[in-house]
Amino acid sequence: MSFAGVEGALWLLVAVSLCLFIVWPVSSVFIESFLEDGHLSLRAYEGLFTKNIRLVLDSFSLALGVTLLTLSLSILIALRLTYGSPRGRSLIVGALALSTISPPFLCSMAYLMLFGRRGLITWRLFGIEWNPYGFHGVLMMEAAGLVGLTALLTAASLDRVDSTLENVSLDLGGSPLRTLMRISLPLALPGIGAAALVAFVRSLSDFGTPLFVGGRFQVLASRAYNTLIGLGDFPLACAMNVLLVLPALLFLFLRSSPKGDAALSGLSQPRSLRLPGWFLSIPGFVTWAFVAVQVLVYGLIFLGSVTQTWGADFSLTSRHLAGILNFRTDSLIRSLLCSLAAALGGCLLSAVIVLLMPGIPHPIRRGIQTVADVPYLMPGTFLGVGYLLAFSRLPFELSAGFLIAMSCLFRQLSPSLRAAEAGLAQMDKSLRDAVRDLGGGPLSVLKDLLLPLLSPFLRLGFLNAFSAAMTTTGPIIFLVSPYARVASIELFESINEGDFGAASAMGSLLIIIVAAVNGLAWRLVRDSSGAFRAS
Amino acid sequence: MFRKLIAAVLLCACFAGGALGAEKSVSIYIAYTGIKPILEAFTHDTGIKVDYLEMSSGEVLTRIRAAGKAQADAWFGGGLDSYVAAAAGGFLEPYVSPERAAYDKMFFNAEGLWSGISLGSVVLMGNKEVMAKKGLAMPQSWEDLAKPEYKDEVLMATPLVSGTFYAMVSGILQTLGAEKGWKLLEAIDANVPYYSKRGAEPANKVSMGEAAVAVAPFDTVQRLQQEGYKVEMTFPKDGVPWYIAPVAVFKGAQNPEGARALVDWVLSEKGQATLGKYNTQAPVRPGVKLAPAVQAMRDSNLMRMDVVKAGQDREATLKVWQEKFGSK
Repeated sequence: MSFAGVEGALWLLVAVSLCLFIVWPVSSVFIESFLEDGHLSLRAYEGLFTKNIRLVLDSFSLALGVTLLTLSLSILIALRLTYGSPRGRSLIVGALALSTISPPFLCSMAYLMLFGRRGLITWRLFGIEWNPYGFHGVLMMEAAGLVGLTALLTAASLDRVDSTLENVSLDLGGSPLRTLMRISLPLALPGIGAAALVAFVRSLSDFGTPLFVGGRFQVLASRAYNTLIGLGDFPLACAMNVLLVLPALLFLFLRSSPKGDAALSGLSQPRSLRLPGWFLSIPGFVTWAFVAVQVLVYGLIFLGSVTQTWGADFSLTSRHLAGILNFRTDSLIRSLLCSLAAALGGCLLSAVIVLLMPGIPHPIRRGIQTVADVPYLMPGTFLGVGYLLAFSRLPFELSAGFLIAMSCLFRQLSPSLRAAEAGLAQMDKSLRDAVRDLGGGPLSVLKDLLLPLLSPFLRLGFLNAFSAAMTTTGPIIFLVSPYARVASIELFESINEGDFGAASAMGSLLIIIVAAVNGLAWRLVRDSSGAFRAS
Repeated sequence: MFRKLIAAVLLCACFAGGALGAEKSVSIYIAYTGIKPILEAFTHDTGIKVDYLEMSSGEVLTRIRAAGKAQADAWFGGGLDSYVAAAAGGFLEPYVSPERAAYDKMFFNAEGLWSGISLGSVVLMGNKEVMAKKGLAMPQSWEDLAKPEYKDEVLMATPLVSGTFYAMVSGILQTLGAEKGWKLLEAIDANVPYYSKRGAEPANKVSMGEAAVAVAPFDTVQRLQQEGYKVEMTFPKDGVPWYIAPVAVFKGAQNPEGARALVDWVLSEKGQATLGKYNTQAPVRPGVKLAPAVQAMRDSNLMRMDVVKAGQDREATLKVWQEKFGSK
């Protein structure tokens, strides 16, 4: 096939899949906000903005706060990883990767059990009785859940900064700190920008955390959820989504792209930039504090899975784990298959989009990014409702497993795409031309250049999408059926029943599976990028 | 290429996985504790296999509204208000089981759209350790719960999402009358730091010690005690609110015979005895032997309230509730 032919086919694939799995279900939700018992009505929009102005402001100020907090922590941790001593580096990366796997509600519960109003550490150990319920609690818990992903993204970007540029600055007499501030960090901006957007969007769409620790503080996403599930008011709940999604989309569409016009390395070289010890101690302290908290939280989950009843009877038991392995293996396997399909499909789709990107005008490029952002921006429940609204109107029935996989793929497309774009922005464009000049078609650009060179970024996309798909409940709670159950929903049920043992057993198994699959993917990718370097 | 291949294989596997479950069995949405052994007994007695999914009744209702149909055969347990709404939306299939002759009429919808299977109640649950540390006594009544010493230590869920808490609000209003009832609710509200947005949360958080007292369903407290949590329970002296858990057949069921067999079985003497064995709500069929703890609940001073009237008043009551306490 000709170059243009292959590119055309790839375009068609992207356009059809975005329309089918994003535009159609999402517009179904928006259309629902104009329907009242099947008739056109604007009832839901009467005074919508004035009545909810407080919620809109709260939602956006929370998202902004979460972004700032997450970003400062991420940059500090990334500095520690890149410039700190190599000792303990793999432990830190492990803790960061672990913290991206957060089983629904279980982590929030573990945080409360440790640092809550009557937490093990805050109350029992230090005798502090503080109130985590409110803006500050939501802020901290959302940031804690996001830092893993954003710090890894920032670190990957910082790692890709060409160290010869740092050397030039040092040789010209620039101090190490000046070199960091004026050369290294600005060059890593694509990754930092991507991390910021991921945090901002994630926080806007999160309804679980405000429901759990918000207390009186609620945001649009959580209020929309209650309007839908509690009051059953479809038009109003869907209209609240419009109120959330439109301003956010406008912001995302208009924002200026981080400049990424320089810098490539691909081959990491030894760094000669040495930051002063007193300066490094700050990122070092923050990083180890974060690692310590993660060890406590995940340690509690693992211990909970082998303890009779945490807090009451601490004797060891295997009953929680045995209960799952004996009766719930089908859910685990279905989760695994759907999540693998979602994560691999997402990586591949983002690589294809990134491959097509350079050849098209800026507004269209931004349009595609914005469409990909929508499912990530919507509270998950509503994406699920959209899938249900759209696909149950088909004359034939789609399998629940397929819909679950697709909803996870397209919900997590935005972070995968952002990660891939951040990688692309730091890649030398002449490489792509070189492959073309040597007669390679788009597929060889994809296979021989993009996939290997973007692999650290795609790997992050994979890690995020896979663990999100394994642990999500929002979008799929309306897609699972009595015939097609998945592990995260089982976990959610256990949490609702107050069965911390069963919940943490399922959570532990999910964590182990996600970690194992990622370890495997890590090795596969390392082998393939090693092959690239050798050739 | 290799990866694409894997993705394609996995997608196919997902399709196949979905198709595998197509053998004839009854599919059920469930919000009922202890359900696993109950359904095993059903399969044992009738030979009918079941597939079930546990889901709150608000979520079930949202789901069938969005899809325009129920993607299951039967509905078991959960809040009566959701059943009433589903019946109004035309999603339920009437079925008058022959077993109904043995029952009090107050537990049924006359047209057979839903049938009550067991009675649950709303009680007070305290965390012993927190109570002791804070020097608090276990509240014995709704009046007690309104005392200032429990400030910020009372958790309950918003009745907008939880049928249990709607039963409490409705029960208090029905027995005390609107004026005194709202006054009491306002006094209790002063002690509630915020209303939980999910029904199961107050009891769970109090079992973790996040607050001293929860308003909680009786069967949840029983389960937490069996799990070993150090929690204690009182039946409020000024009246125990109650509600019933229903069962129903969905319109357009793939296996309507199976769904009707489930309704017959759960209303039969044997089915009711099985419910009594694995669940701590009280089966409503007269003459079913109850466990001592459940018998004590049945004998507690249940409020004189009308569950059907509670359902009819729901919208108006919640409107007032939201005006008074909605911002919490």
